[in-house]
Amino acid sequence: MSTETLFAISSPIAMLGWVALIISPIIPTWSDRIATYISPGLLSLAYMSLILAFWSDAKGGFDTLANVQLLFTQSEIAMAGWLHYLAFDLFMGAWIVREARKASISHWFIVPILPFTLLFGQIGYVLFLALKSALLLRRDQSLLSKSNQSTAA
Amino acid sequence: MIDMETVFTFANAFVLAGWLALLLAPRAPKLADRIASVVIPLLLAIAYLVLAPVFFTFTEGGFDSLANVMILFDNPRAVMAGWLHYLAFDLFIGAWQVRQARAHNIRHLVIIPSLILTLLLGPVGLLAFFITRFAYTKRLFN
Amino acid sequence: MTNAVIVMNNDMSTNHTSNFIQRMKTFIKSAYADAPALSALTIIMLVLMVPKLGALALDTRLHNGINIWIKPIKFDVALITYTATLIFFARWIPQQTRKKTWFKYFIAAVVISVVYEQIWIGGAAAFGTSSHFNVATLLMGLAYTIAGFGAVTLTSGALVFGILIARNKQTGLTDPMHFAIWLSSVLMFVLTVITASYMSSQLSHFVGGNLLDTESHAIMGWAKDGGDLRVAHFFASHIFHVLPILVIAASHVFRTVSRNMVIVMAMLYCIFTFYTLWEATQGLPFLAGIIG
Repeated sequence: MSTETLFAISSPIAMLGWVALIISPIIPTWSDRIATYISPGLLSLAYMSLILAFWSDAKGGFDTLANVQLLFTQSEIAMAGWLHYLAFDLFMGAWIVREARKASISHWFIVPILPFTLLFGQIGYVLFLALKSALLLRRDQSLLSKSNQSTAA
Repeated sequence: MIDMETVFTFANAFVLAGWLALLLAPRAPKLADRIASVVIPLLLAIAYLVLAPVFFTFTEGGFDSLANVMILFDNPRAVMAGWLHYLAFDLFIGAWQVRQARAHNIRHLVIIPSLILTLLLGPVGLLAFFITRFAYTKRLFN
Repeated sequence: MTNAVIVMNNDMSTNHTSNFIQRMKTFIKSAYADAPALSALTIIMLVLMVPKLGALALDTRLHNGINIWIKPIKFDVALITYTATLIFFARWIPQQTRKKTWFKYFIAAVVISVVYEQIWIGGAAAFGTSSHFNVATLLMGLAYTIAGFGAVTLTSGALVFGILIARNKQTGLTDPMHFAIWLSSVLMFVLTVITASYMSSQLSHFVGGNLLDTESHAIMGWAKDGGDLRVAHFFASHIFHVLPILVIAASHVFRTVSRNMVIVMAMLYCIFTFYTLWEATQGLPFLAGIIG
């Protein structure tokens, strides 16, 4: 199997997880299982295959940026690096959806954040943290003003 | 122009502090979690935002094929941005593992191998944690 | 009408799948109840076999003329079969024995040995080198020596299980089956240690031939162009599968199966195993002396 074939197979596996997250209000349990365990698990298994097969002969390393860049010049290692992104971005997306549900944040707020997580991982995470604190702060304030009103009344 | 190798060295040292916090998490669970899952990823994201515009200005390469992804990584700035992404998410998932272990009453010592694997080879560490947790809870999903 | 039929079919199919999942859950739960550590180990090995299969598909490196991942995968299959058998046999060991501290420590030693073999064989493949017979460097030589102790430790699981089952008079098994299970478990250890230690006293498991895995049987991978000591090792390690199955078969053919019949079958099997060992030492492929 070539690395381009693996690339072509891994994209739909990751997309399955993202689609599950988008429609998560319909299938909350299974969307979480797919996007946290099944898809990232499969992608991680593929990553491990590549590491087992190609890591020992790979040039480069984690010690300097130049060496990291050298790693990415080998298609097998670049593919492993790509799977790492696919798996962890999806995992993060699933975590965001779970956290949002726990904090009763509307799914409509989350849907625009998910593409950021898919494309620029960290930006999505930061946007979610910002959104969550803003919403929780507002909720606290409205609770505060309500309790103020009740004491006034 | 800041030298990317300096950014690389500095970012790595910075993240290792987060991993150290996770390894010592039982001593100060709340603090370790705040550091590893909020403070450090947040600061790394700011650094990422500074570097990431390279993605918007690329003329060659893209996310559609492996060959194009590899072209993106010809640029040291892009590699640095990508590296920050790894650093932040590996650490975040390490912190998640520590939280999960606490929630499922798994001893900290038991998850240290999966933490180290997450630091070195991210997805292998995640798999190792799934397996460890399954061996403890006998349940595949949460 | 059609709709009703479709809906009914759907209902039935979901029932089937949930039944299957339910059955799998009960299966895993009973395995965990009988032998928790070995069950966890078996599941871990099953999961970790997947990336090795992936590596087999991706890696182009050869070892002894065949893909370097064939060997780790064969060992996965062998070790998973072994631990699964121990889990299956554990139910015939009294529960009080299984709860004893010494027994738990013994199982831990078996588990650690299996994990060590896995890391050693898989690691050697990842680094593109040999595991067994590799004494090229001090480190690999040491790793091979430790693997030898590990192999005896993990195989002694069958011996200990055999003895404990023999001493248990309340297994609920028929007498010949009880006898066949404990006898074959003990013999599994004895035969495997004999065949494996003879093999490790040599420099290779090949005797003559091209010393590669290229001229080999399709499934088992044994040499066709010379002797292969792995044949006898294979038959030795499967006596505790074959003998109980032979007892079941015999009970269908004959009216009763006696202990003496079990002894005769065990003796014939041992003779056959030693024959394959002798055959390999003479540089002959499997059954070449009989079939030609």
